[in-house]
Amino acid sequence: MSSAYKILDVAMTADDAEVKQAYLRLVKDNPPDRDQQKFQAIHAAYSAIKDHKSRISYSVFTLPDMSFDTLIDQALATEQNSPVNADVLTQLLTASVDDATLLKAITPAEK
Amino acid sequence: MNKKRTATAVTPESLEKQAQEKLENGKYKESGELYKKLLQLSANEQWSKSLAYCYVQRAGALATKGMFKEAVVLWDNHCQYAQAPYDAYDQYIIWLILSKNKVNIQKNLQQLSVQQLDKDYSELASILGLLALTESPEMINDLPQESAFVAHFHLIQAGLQAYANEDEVKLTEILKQIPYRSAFRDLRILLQALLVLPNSESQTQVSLAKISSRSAYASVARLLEITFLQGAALFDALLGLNHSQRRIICQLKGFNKQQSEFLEHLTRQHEHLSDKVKFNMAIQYQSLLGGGVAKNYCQQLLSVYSTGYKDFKKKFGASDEYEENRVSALLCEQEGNVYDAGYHWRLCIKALHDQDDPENALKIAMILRHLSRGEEPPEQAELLIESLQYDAEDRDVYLRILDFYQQSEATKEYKEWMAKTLAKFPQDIEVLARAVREATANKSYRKASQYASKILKIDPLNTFAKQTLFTSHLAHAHRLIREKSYHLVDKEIKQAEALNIGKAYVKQTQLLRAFFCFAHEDKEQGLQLIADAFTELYADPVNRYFHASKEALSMGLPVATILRALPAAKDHLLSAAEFAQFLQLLEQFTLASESKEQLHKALEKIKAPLKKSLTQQGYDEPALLSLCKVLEKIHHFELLRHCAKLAYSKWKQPVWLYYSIYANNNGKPEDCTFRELMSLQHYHEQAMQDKDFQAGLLLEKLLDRYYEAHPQRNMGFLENFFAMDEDEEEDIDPMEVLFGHIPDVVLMDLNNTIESLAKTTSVEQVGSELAELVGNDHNIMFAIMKDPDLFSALMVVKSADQLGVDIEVSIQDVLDCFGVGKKTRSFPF
Repeated sequence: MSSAYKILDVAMTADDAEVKQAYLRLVKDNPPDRDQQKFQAIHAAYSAIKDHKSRISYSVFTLPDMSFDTLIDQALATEQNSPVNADVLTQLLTASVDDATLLKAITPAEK
Repeated sequence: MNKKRTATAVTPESLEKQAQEKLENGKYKESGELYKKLLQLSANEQWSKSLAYCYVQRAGALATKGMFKEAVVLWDNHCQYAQAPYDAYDQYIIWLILSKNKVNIQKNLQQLSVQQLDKDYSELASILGLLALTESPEMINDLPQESAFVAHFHLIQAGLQAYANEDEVKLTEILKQIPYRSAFRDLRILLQALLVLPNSESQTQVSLAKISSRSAYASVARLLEITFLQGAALFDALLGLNHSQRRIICQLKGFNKQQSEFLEHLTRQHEHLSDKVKFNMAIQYQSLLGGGVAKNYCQQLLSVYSTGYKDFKKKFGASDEYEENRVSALLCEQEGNVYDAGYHWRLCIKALHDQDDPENALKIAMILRHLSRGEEPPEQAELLIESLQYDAEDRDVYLRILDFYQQSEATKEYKEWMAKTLAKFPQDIEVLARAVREATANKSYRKASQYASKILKIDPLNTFAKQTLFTSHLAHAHRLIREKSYHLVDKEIKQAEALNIGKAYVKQTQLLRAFFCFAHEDKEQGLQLIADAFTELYADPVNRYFHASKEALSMGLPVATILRALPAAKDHLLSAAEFAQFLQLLEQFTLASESKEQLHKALEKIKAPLKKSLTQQGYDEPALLSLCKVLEKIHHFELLRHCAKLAYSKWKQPVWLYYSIYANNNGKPEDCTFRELMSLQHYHEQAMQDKDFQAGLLLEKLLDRYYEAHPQRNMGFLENFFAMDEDEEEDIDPMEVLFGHIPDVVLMDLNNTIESLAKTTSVEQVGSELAELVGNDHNIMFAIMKDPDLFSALMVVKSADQLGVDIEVSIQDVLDCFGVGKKTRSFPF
């Protein structure tokens, strides 16, 4: 399960206003009629860390995310991708050509 | 050995039939062989077509297995039996490309017509476009130069050049010239997506999603999408890529050397990620992860990977006692191990005490509150009170403490905590509302009004407060009429009216005005107004009678005179809805009334129609249960008896037995007969077995009260007997006289036997066995029924006989001792 901070995409040091802002932004992008489950997860995350007391309670009673994925996230974190220039595009196009791609593109789709 | 062979005539028809069947079943090789045989017999166009079809199908099957050269050979074979245009020619060209058959590739590309390239083989054209742009640029020379394909190829090349020159305007212009039906359509989408990338990653993703998964450009689109992923999701996606693809993605992500090493390490180990591997990786890449993250991760892992403790200490020093215990406590709770969880939480509190952090007090308070949830009520309250030492601002904790004292009926403590809560949260509506409810329950209406007024100051629209004030004004007006202080009544009624809380309340003030008119102004007019008001309030005469009686009694007005103004109620049968209205009224009066006597008198006026309605109308069980609850509360045993008897005969549930016995004894369980006692015990057990805890608790309450009044009559037979030493100075007990000489060990055995008899034998059976023992003497039986001690003593003798123990006490001794053994008889033991 993702942590409330991760769901709301806020830092562990975020204050009430930052948490609320992140919540409102996410709710706007994920209204309940589009994905009820996601909306509920966002709402639950907000309820869990919306104010100082909730955040302390969350820090005491939430089992830390011991998944290795969290560690991978941290290790492979990068600020921004390098730009895709013409060279990179050519490399990507060349790297994308393989037997499977060619076969898939020519094989008639199964009905 | 000679085998006799039966010559089977193989006719072309049968061969054709077999060939056709095989073909339909997808057995193309066998079908093809049969068609070849048929063609050896005679030339047939249809057979040739079928054979060609078999070759093409087999070629396709081999190509999907990666056997492109074989596929090419079979397709070539098919040409011998088919005529142009050939089936799957576009696939054939791809197989040639995949089998790297350069000569044939060139030959066939040169044979491609404009129609084929631009219209018939759009998928092939798309692939040829991708190849011409990447690994086989020479291919373009073999294709028909007058085709749209070649024209679009040159456009795209110019576009790519513009992209390289970062000339967005030119690129956009060129892309506009690529039509939807072009072989480079998906590359156009790709380039458009890249154009918006610097501004909007999500817009790029939306554009890339337009490229079909079957497109020649699907793979490059997917590669670009992967670059938008982060962390673990990115790693999972990278696992599905080949080396060169991975290298480009890593380059685009801008991974540093350490990240690349981590990724490589992870790729090698990803199928064997044990706790040990994870722990060691966290330590090894500590500098990449950041010391804090690595330490936290390892710390958390220690709760499931304790072997790492030594390494942890070496790398990070001593572990955080609080964090270690916190994780352990939560893991224990996850496994349902509340006991160990509690232990770890206590250690957490200790660790927090030792640390100097302003937030620790709140954490301790939270842990204590958390612990309180798993405790029994007294400990729960203790923990909650303790938690307030660390965080005194949590209103809900005060309310929970109040709940506890209210439920445990600890009035003194409740009042103390109510005062503390009010002092702490003087402006809190929930606290004030609770104070109102408490004051109302204690009939302290003045206090209730004060709290309600406070609520209205904070929340002028608060309905609950308005209702409380309304009730208070009306109660005050009642009292004023009773005390004949008429000059103040109108003011109270006006104040109640000014609260303006709905039609139902208007009717109540109208009714009060009618009574006021009757009491003070004009009797005739008052009676008319009263009759009118009740007609508006109730459709039936019983509720009018009841309400009118209660009102008149509370205001000290002549009940009979007022009732005469209303239609007679004695023959009316209450419908279910009217009965529900009556119940509501009765509950309301019970809650508000200071005097049970008035309620009893009011009920007296409608007793007859009520009893008749109960007997004849067949109300449902919940309605009768509600009535019994109120009647129990106001101690109206006559109606309670009537209702419970009816209900018991209908439903035979433990709760009805409770109300029957409670009412039969006028609320004094100590007066229960022996038979009732046995029934109570039996139904108590049944209720607990049926998980009817509500009835079980009621019966238990009755039994407790009975045993409180008759401690020696506890069905644990000899328990009290063992405890007799403490009461030596009391009156001589017949049990002591009879059985005092028996050693404790023997008494214990006897007690066990009696208890097992009580469990395995029905009340009726025990009764009939005892009756037999005492010679069916009615006097003795009556004495047994009246005196549980006599019953117990007889059971002791009976169980001694059953155990074969000589206790030197006979039935006659028992009867003599209790003064009921007039007749001398010999008994079987």
